[in-house]
Order: sequence, then C-alpha cells, then structure tokens
Amino acid sequence: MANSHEEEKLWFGLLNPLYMWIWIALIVLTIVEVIIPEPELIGMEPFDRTFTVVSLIGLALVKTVLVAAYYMHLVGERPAIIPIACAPFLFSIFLTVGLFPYEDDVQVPARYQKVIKAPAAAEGGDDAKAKPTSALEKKANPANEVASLSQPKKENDTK
Amino acid sequence: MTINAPGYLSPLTKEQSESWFRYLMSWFYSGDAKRIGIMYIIFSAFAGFIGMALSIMIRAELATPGLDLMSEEFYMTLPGMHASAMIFFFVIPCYAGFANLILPLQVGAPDMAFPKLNLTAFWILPFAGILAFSGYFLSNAPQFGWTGYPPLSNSVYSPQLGADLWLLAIALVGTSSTMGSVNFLATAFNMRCKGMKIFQLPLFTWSIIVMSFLVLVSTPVLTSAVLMVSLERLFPATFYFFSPQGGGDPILYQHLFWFYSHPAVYIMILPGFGLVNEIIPVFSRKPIFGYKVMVYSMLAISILGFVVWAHHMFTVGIGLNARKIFMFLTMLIAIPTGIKIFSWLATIWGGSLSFKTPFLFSLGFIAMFTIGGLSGVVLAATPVDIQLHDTYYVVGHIHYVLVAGSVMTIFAGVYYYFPKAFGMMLNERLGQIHFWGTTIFINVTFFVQHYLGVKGMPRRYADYDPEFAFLNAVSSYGSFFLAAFQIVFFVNIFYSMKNEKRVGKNPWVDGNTLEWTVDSPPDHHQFHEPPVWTPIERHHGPHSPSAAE
Amino acid sequence: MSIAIGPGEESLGVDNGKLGMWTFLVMDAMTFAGFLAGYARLRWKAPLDGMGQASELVNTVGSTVWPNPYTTFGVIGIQLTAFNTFILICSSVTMVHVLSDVAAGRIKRAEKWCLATMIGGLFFLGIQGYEWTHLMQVWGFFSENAAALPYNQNFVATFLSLTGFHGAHVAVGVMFNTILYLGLRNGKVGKEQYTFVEIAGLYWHFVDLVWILVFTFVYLL
Ligand SMILES: [Cu+2]
Repeated sequence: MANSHEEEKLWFGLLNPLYMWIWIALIVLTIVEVIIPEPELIGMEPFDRTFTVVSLIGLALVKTVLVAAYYMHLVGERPAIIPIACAPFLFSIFLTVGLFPYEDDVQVPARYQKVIKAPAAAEGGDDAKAKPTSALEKKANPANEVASLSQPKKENDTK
Repeated sequence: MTINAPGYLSPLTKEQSESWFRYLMSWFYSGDAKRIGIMYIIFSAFAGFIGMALSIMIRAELATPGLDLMSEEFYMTLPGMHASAMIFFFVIPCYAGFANLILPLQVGAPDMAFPKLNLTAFWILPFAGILAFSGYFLSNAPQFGWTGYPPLSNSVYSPQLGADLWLLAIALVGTSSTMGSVNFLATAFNMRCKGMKIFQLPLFTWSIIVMSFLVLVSTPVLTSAVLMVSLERLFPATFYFFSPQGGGDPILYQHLFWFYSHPAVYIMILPGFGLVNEIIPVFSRKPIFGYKVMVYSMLAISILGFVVWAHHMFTVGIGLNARKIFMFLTMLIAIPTGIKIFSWLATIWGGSLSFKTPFLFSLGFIAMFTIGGLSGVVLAATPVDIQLHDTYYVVGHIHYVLVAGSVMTIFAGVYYYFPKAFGMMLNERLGQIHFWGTTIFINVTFFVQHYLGVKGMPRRYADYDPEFAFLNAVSSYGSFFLAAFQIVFFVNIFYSMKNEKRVGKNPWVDGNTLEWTVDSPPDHHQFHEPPVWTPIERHHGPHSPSAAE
Repeated sequence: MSIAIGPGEESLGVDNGKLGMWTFLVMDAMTFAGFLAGYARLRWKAPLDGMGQASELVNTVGSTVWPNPYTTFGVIGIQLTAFNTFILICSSVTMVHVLSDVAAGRIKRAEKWCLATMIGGLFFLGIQGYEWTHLMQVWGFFSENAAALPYNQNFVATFLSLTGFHGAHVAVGVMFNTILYLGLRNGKVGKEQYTFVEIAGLYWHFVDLVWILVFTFVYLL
C-alpha cells in the first residue's frame, strides 16, 4: 500500500505516485483498447479478427489485475484473501468453457452410417458458413418443436 | 405468568418474561445465532411438512393407474413445488439452522460474524416461501417442474402469475443462502478461538465452510439464470435469451441451471456429512479415521462438483467429446465420496459402539447413501443415462441421495443436538421406532422406483402404463407409511418436552468439541470466558476414556 | 447482549467486515459470470458481422447477425462509452485517495475525494441512462419494435441485462459512497473507521473492475 506520509503538502495527494501511475496505465490501456477494434481512428488498417479478440481480452485482464492488485490492495493483502479473490476467475472459466457450444465431432464408422443417416437427412444441407451443430440442437431450434420436446403434458395424450 | 427457560432460551428482560408476545418478538428480532438457528430449523420443519404433503399427493395419484384424484394441470404443479419446498425451503435452511446453532460454538466464537445479516438472511426465507407457494392460492402455480426449463417456463407456455412469483422466490432464496454463507465463512475463518487452527476445526465446521463456498460460487449463477427467465417473461418482445423464437438458446439455460444445481446436491449433502462426522466418532468412542483426508476429500468434492454439471444434459445434444469428459469427471467424484464412506467405516471398525438413535440414523445414512451414490455412478455413464434419463430411475436415485442422505442426517443431527439446543434428551425408545420406520419405508418407497425406471416409466406424468401398477402401489403405500412414521418424531419431541429429562454439559459423554464444554442449553453469551482449544492429536489408536468402562 | 464481535485469536488477520466483503464479491462476480458466460455462448452462436458492417446474413438459427453496438446503434458510439470508462476509472482513483486520506487522518480532504467519486458515479449513470433512452426512443428497445430490428435479438437482451445489472451496481455503489460521504461530513467516519472506508472502496473498485470486462466484451469485441 502506498505510504502517504511524504506527500502531505502536495495538492490533494494527486501526485501519490503509485496510484497515479496505475491510473495512467489504465487510461493508456483503455485508449489502446478503443483503437484496436477501430484502427481507422488513427489511420491504420483494420486488424485481423483473431488478433482483435485475443488482444482485447488480454488487455482487459491486465486492467482487471491492475485494479484488483493495486486499488483493491491485493498486493499487500493477507495471503488468505488472495485465493478468495481469485476463486471467481477460476470458476467463471469453468462455467464459460463448460457451456461453450461444442460441436459433435463424432466419426461414425462406415457400418453404422446407414442407421444414423436416416434422421439426419431430414434436416437438409445448410450453407457452408453455418457451423455444424449436433442433430438434436438443430432440431431444437424451430420454436414449436422445442415446445413439444419440453412439454411432457402435450406428449402424454399421444400414447 | 412468567416464562422460565434456561440458557439462551431465557427471556432477556423482565417484560419479556411476562408476556409471550414480547418473548416471541425477542426471538424474531434476535441476533443470537442459536435462536436464529432454531428459527431456521422450525421454518424448515414447516416447509418439510408442506413438501411431504405435496409428495403424498403425488404418490396418492400414482397409487393406481389412471387419473383418479386430480386434474393433469394440478398434478403438473406437484413435482416442481414438492422439489422446491424440499430443496430450497427444507434441506438447505435446515442445514443453515444447524450451522447457526453449532458453528459459532464449535469454533469458540461468541456469535456469528454479522448477526444482523444473519437475521436478515433468515427473514428473507418465509417471504420467499410465501411467494413461491402463493401460486396455489392464485390458482395458477407453475407447472414446469423445479428445473424451470425454458421455453416451457417462458411467458408463452407458462403465463401463470404463480410462475413469476416462484422465479422471484428462487432469486430471494439464493440471496438468503449467500448471505448466510458470507456469515459462515467469516465466522469460521475469522472468529476462531485460541488454539483453533484451520486443521483443528471440527469436521462439521469444515463441511459448512465447504458448503458456504459452494453456495457462494454456484447460487449466483442460478440467480442470473432466473433473472434472465424473468426478464424474458416480463418483457417478451425485448429479451430473448432462451426462447428460440428470438434466436435464443434453451440449452444455455440448462447449462446455467445445472451449474448451480449440481453443486446444490453437495450443498444439500455436505453438512449432512459433517453431522455424521461429528456423530460417528462419539458413538464409536474413537477419533475420526483420517481427519485430514476427510477435509481434503470434501474440498475435492467441492472443486470437482463444479465441472460435472452437464451429466444432467447428456440427452440435449451436446458434443460427444464434451459428454465423455463430463462422464469421466462425474465418475471421478465417486472417489472422494468413497473415501468418506470408508473413513466412516474405519472409524466404526473396532470402536465400542453405543447404538443410540443419532448413531442409528448415521449408520442408516451410510448404508442407504451408498446405494444412492452407486446409482449415481450408473447414471453418470452417458450411454446408460441416455436410456434412463427422465425415468423413475433418476427419481429413485435422487431420493436415495436426498431422503436417505440429507433427511437421515438431519434426523441424526436433530437427535444428536437436541440435548444441546434445549437441555433435554429425546426419548430413546420413540427415537428407535422412528428410525426403523423411516429406514424401512424409505427403502420400500424408493427402491422399487429404480426398477420402474429401468422398465421405462417416465417421471413427471400423472398417469402410467397399467403394467407398472403393482410397483407403483408398493411405492405409494411405502410413502404413506414413511409419512406416518414422521408423526412418531413429533410425538417424541412433545413427549420429551413434557417429561423434561435435564442433561448436563456433555450428555453423550464422549463429545469432545467445544459445544460440549458449555451448558445445555448454552447461555446467551455461550462462553463465560474466552475458550481455548487444546489441539487434539487425532489418531487411530485407543478408544475414548468412557469406552473402558 | 453486548458481546464484542470481532476477529478471534486465530483469525486470518483481517477484519470481519473485509472478509465478508471479499466473500460477497465472490458471489457478485459469479452473478456477472453467469450473465457474461450466457453472453459468450449466445454471441458465439451468432454469425460475425465482419467489421461492424450491417449485413443481412441469416444463420441457421434464424437469428440475424450480431450488431456492433458502436456502429449500429449510432449514439452509443465507442467514444462516448470509452469516455464513460474513463470516468469510472477516474472515480476509482479518487476512491483510493479517500482511503489513503482517511488512513492519514485528513478527513476534510477525504471528504472532497469522496464527493468526486460520487459525482463520477452519477456521471457514469447519466451517460448510461442517455444510452438507454436513446435505444428505447430511437430503436424501440422494450417495445414491440425491438423484435423487428434486423439484428440479433440476443444482442438486445444481453446488452440490456449486462449494462443494466452493472448500472444497478453503480447505483448501489453511489449510495454506499453517499453514506460514506455523510459519515465523513458528520464526523462519524474517522481514522478509526478505516476498515469501513476500505470496504466501501472494495465494492467500488469491484464495480469498476466488472465494467472493464463488460466494456471489453459488450462494446469492443
Ligand atoms: Cu449432478
């Protein structure tokens, strides 16, 4: 934590070095962040999408760590607090990674393909841009089909 | 008229001792963790009664094939409301009650870290309970089950007002339990008495720490999902998170929901583990086997519990590789759980056992919870789960975990801590009758459901194929007897209250944690001078002193 | 019932309140994680819009492309929101000054810093309110028109829920700071109440921290 005894005389402690350096760093990083998706602002060519995504997330994390470490005083904190502070990062990564819409990348052996093809044929080919999704997920998309899927009540009377 | 009660039950002022109203008010405004704990447990008993009544209605309808007692619409509300009563208003608050009662005593603290927050967390619950169940009085309770999957739960398919109120209630319950958890963590970490190092904490306190951590990390995700559903319901033209009409993703809700609801299973069982951890060494008169391993296995359960949730979603069409990973991780959880089961068995092994009611309930818990755990491993296997998904097998499994697990440990805890909380013993003979009735009829009720599930009887329907009639009748009559035997428990409480059998500080003789060093019931301040915990060497060696008798 | 409730002999070495605030922040962070993870999944499934060009591309889900908030919706230009971010960062730095001044016993000075923090928070809320009213009036969010927008409906939902939930946190933070400010003015908060100031600061910095993530994920990406 910054020692605030020396700069007693300075105007409102504005020159408190550590906090102000972090502040400047945050602002510079924000400016960089704004420029990355719109490089036209300073007359640059647009960046590659992958570069934009990776660098923006990286910069955001750097800013987050700066705020947590210096403004929330994690650097000088008791060691016990640090795992508590880091826990949500870990678990939100679990959450985000886990609910990612994974594609069904099954290699169906040739001898089973006839069996599996039949229902899949009904869905028809999609344009090349569409990401392949699993059969069930695709089926789940039109509104009324989902309704009947998750409404056991409705299914009941067909028995 | 004067109100006379010992310990923390005693009125604080002269006015309170003269008027029941004031005395009751002093409870309602009390910041004393023990009083709040008792209020939690009483509230959860009410909720448990409602949940039981709903489950009796379900079983009554299912006792014979065909729709004979109620309309389909009404039946559709029952499974969800039974589940929400039992999960959100019975098991979780009941454990919060035990934690309030015992945790400050066990760590040697004068009270919880934030008494007012504690009281607020409790008082949210009754209001949330009223909100959740008000649907029945508005004659439109939600019909989408406790999972509330959209699009079934959105404003198109469930336009009931009761559904909105139920969602609000769930968000409130989440808030209440996170407030409680903040409190438990701060108390357990920060208010330990002298000598109570982190690896000296009694295992019940450890289980509450792990549970609070699970609540803190998982419940807000449910809250966010519930808020999203509520927004979708309230502003149907603007918010599309889950509804496919607006390009939303119903599976996203399931991910968010199960990210809470799988850890919720551990929220509902870990404090039970903790209670059993306290009870078994006392009645085996031996120190717990593998204290540190018990702690580490709880931590392992809590971490692993966050990376397995998609095992509830094996049939929604997530990628096969993702399913394989989730299957593997789910099966991995059986290891720390198995470690705990075997450590309890090792604690009992070679002990000089005293078969009092709390110990009987703990033994029944170990035996039956193992069945629930093993059927969980069966369900974790993706190919098997695809077959058994949404059948009565799942119902049987969850009830072996929650009734034979949580409810048995709750009873064990009530019998064990009743002398501490009220200063009098519960009748042993009635307790044993209650135990045998409960244990036998849990098995009668739920064991056949595994078979029904394998044969293909789906859950959540009001009617079924007449082929299943016999086993359903067995299950239904079992559940009626199970409910009937709970009367014994309440009779026991009133009987024991009437024939007060006063007890001393350590009624079970071998209790060696701090709560057994104070009066029963403890004083308002619990410890008259700051307690000091003499670190105990936990070993697998000779028995406790009283075992030599 | 006047028992001193505070850290016991074997505490973690922090105040109860601070530990409580940190554990509360874990919970709050996970709430945002729920919203952000939902955003990530919905966003991932929607087709990309190239570099902010409105396109009529329709994907298999039947939803349209993900709009780019700063080019598509006019007024919520990236500059305005970047300025808003700047304000929140500034109000964060003023908040640490409150803490360091209270620690040093310069209450008058801390009071002014606290006022600056409050104004920063209110300014932020004002700009966000402007954004929202623009979206509601010009683009018809919250009305039947929203469904007719030629953009992905999930954008509307995730944008409003994320910024709205964050805005609610800012509002709570402003209230918290107001309490702190009044306390400083009335002399209720002094050097001894250092921890209270620190707790208020933790909450405020957390709100700032979440905004850094929300700004990046919702506006910039
Ligand atoms: Cu699970």
